Amino acid sequence: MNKKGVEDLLWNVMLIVLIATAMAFLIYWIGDVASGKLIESQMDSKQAALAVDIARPGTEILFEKNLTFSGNNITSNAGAMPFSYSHFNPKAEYENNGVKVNG
Amino acid sequence: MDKGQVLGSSLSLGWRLILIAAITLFVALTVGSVFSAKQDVRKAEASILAERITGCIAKEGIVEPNFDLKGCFIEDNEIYVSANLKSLETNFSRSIESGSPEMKVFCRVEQEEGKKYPSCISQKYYVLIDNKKIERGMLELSIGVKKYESNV
Repeated sequence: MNKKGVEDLLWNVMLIVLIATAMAFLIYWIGDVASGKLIESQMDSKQAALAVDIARPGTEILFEKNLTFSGNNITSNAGAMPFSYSHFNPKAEYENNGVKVNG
Repeated sequence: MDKGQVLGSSLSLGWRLILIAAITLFVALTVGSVFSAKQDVRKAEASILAERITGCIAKEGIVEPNFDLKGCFIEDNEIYVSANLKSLETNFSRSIESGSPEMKVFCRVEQEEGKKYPSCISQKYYVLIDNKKIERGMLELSIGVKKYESNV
């Protein structure tokens, strides 16, 4: 193979490697997005907040997900980024990884 | 390879890279905008709040004429509640509000998709009013929830 042929081959290999890397990252990212991993923390904190909102006095809720409570904010650290959402139930008290609604 | 060929090859590679980057960006933006949109739960939240308020001020369906919203929910600037109690038998009526009143205006305007407007609901309940004698009445609740950053 002459010098020009070697250079062309090298360029093409580089290009193929570059495209393959970009596509691999894209497919991995699309997989995460489509499986809901990116909005997992949002869904968890919103579901927990709505569950606390709707809970009747005397209800005890234990969350399987890892949530942190501060004031009336419920934060989920699942997925890519932490997400906080507030509830409006004035009788909710936090206990370990759960909530108790006083009567 | 002469200078012209090198330049031509570099330009061709540059364009190919730009094209790949553009396609990757387009796919990522399209997929991202579809699957990672924020879930708007404010309507559900407003409905739950309406149920909570009626349970709080109309215990067993009877409302005191001097009812109050204090202690029914955690009040903040993100939530607006207007409660209007009217007797259907006498001319008794009472209105109370909680939260920022500007939301009352925003709830009335026609809302554009994707813009930052509060999510609002209005519900009416038939109740009994304990006004010396028991009267039939209507409780009208208007609720607006902002929480733009988390939902829009």
